[in-house]
Amino acid sequence: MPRIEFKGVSKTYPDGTRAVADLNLVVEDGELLCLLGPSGCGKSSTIRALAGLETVSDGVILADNNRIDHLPPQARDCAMIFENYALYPHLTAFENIAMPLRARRLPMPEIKHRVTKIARLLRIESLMGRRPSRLSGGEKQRVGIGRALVREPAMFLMDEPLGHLEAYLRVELRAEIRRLQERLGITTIYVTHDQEEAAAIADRIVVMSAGRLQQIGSFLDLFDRPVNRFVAEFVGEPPMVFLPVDRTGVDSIAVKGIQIPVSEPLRAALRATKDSELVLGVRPNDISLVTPAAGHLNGKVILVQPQGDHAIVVLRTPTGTVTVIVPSDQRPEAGATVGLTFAGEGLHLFDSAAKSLLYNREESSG
Amino acid sequence: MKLAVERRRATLVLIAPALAILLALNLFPIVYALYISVHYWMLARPQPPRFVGLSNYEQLFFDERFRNAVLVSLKFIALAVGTELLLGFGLAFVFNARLRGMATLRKLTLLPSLVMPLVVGLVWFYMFNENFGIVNWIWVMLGGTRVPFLTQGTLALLSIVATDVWQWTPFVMLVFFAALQALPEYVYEAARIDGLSGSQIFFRVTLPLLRPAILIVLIIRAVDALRSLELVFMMTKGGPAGDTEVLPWYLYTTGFMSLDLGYAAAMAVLMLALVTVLSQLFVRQLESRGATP
Amino acid sequence: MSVALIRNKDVQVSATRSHAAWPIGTLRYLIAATFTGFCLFPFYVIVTTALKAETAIFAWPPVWSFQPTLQSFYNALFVFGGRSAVSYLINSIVISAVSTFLAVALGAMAAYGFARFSFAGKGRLAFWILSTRFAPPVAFIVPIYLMVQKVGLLDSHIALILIYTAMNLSLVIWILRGFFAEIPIEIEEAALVDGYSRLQIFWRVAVPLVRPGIVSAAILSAIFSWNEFLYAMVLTQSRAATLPVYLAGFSNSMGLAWGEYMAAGTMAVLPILVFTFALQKYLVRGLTFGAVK
Repeated sequence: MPRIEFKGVSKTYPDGTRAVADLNLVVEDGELLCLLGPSGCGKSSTIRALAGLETVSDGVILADNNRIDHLPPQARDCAMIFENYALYPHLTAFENIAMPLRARRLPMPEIKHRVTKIARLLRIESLMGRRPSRLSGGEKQRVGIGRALVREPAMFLMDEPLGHLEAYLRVELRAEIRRLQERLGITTIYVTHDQEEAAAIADRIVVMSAGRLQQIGSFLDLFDRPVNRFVAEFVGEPPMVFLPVDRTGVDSIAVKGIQIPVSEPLRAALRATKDSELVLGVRPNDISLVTPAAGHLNGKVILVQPQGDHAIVVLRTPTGTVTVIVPSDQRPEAGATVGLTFAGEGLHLFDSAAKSLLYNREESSG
Repeated sequence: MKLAVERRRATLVLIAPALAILLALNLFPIVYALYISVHYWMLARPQPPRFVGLSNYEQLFFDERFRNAVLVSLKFIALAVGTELLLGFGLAFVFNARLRGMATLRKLTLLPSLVMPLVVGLVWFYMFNENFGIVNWIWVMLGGTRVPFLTQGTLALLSIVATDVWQWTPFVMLVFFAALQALPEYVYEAARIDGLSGSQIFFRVTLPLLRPAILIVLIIRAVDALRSLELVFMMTKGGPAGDTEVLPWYLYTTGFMSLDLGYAAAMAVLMLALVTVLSQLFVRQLESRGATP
Repeated sequence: MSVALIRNKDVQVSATRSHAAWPIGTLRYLIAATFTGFCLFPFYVIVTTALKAETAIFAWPPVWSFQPTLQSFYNALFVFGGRSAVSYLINSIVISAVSTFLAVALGAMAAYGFARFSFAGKGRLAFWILSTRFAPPVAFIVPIYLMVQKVGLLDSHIALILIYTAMNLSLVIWILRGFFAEIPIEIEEAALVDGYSRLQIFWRVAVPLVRPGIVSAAILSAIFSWNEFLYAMVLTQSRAATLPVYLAGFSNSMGLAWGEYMAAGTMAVLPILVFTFALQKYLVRGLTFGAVK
């Protein structure tokens, strides 16, 4: 239920690794917030600091404006679901789920009632007598979810819970997790490196890199309006294409001498900066294939990957490799030379500090 | 076809030599001991051994001294192994901390378990000596009077127990220490998140997870304590009046001082039966932990 | 899991591995140091007594500072009523070395066989071999004495060598089987494809890869052979008698030659002291018999 706030939180390990640097973040009451980023970006350290499994080197963590970063995990009323399930190997599924209740010394009949209720909810009643060694990955994670749910905690923390599961299970379980979370309205923080997963279930997503918060927003916010090159490249599959461009005037750019038409907001942003080392960013579906010499750039088709109603085409151009998405019926032949045009509206421009010229106004936290 | 033949040949060549030695020096002696035990066989006498069926065993059944030996052995095992397990368990937790120098200290403690047991008996014999032993010196300093540790009734057995505890607690501690280090960290994270207090974690998580290690070291120590006689040999020689006459000692004196081989073999067979039962327990415990070959 | 998480093992605050708060850390050190001191103190006694002159040995209260002398060592090694310790020492070294070599060689072969091949009854055979570790020498000496006597090998080196080999095989096989099983099978399969025979693969590919296991097994075998007392005492007299036999003679000489025997005791434990501290990491895995991973 609580509103969680990270104020200037940093975490540095004794060996000097700076896992989290000056994090300022608010998690709204009842929302499902995703921490998204590659390995080593600090998302796990953040969630573990919230759980109390790590101490905070700097800053404070608040829950409903009460400081909690000095409390042991037992006192924080948060439940956690781990990537490797972290089930008690010597206990049955029932006893695993019951453990948080036994810790609070609830009477046995009450424990039985609550555990069975949860088991029914997660459809794992028939597995209650089994030890973890005799459960599949998906079953183990359901038990883990059950153990987290049974105590009706104030916060849910999930550290890549579906990482070890097969693809279809991941899709199925994440939907279940989202449904449960919405129903119960528990503030949830969900760590993942899979953007599709984040896009599917999160209210808001926090993109992290090298211990720093890069951007926070809904998936579409991140997709359409990335504040820097990292977010632009990380969010969106296939990833955004980057091409170095030259400035040909105070508000115009060209690639290999060919002028590229840009939108008015972008021209305004160009006028506002003197930076000359610029990189153009364009999403694969904002690039069209035309006859050679009719486009802004020419390229040779290296690979065509049919994907049903569309195809992914990889081309080699004088400025690098470019990926394009085209409707299936327009796909070219491998080895053909084609022209590429960049739609003026969907273009992004990044300066020498990898910041977006258009959208870097929102610097950090929400 | 050739591949399978080569495999079989290789397997045979690899395993046969070790197997041969074990069959000759382990399996065969057991059978031979059975054979000896059903004979009347005095090594010093010129008469050949005489078949007497189960009369050696019968005699053992009524033998007061044998009963005493079994009792003394049981007392010894219970006291020594019990103490070693408790001490070793507690000490494993003490040493289980990543502090500077702990590792070195821990490695040093292993020495008693590795050196020649006979020398262990020698030095403790010296230290328990009534006239110039250090143990008496400490005892006197604490306000007592000189005590004949090794020649007085139950004290003698307790002295042997104390020596055994000194010798083997480090080994027990090492086993528990290794077991503690092998405990999965994530289970403890889950436990803390679940809200378990320190003592709840110990009794509901740590202890159950250590149960296999406890059983294993218990069986190893029990069997080793059952068959040890270096300490008795060096320190008390079974005295005073049989108060420290453990089963191995009775067997040894019967076989190599009285030279009553048949009788000694009968004792040996009984002892082997008991050890077989215990080693089966051990093997089953290993099996349940997935250590099957 | 993020990279940062991996390093977090160093700081984990957990139920088992405490990041010591000040008073707890000091208490741990205190207990650990006391226990270590308790473990090491008798070794101090052995060495100092070996260096003491006779009057100092029998002094009461015990003497802590004294004039060291090497007389006892000299006596033990070269004089001592015609029974110099030198020949016993040499026998110990020879018998330990050869039996260790045999145990490791044959044990490695058998361990590889168990690790790589399957055959009918393999599981049962493996567990039987494991159980021979529990064989009580005191129960075996009766039949074995007769066996050795019958083939005329009493007081011979070869008898002890073979018996010690049999005694250590179980441990060697159990340790090395684990190590062999850890070798990725692909390496051996590649060698097979290259045309090596299975025995060549064992010798050229597998064995070099399990060197730590071999060191572990060899050290432990050497220690157990070196320390062994009962078989040595019963089966040898003068020609092949080992150091424990020499020490056993002490208990018959009415406690007068403490200095010389402590000197011999020093020699008996010195190799252990030296080697085990240097080779600690190999020891731990072997001693816990893989029962605790």
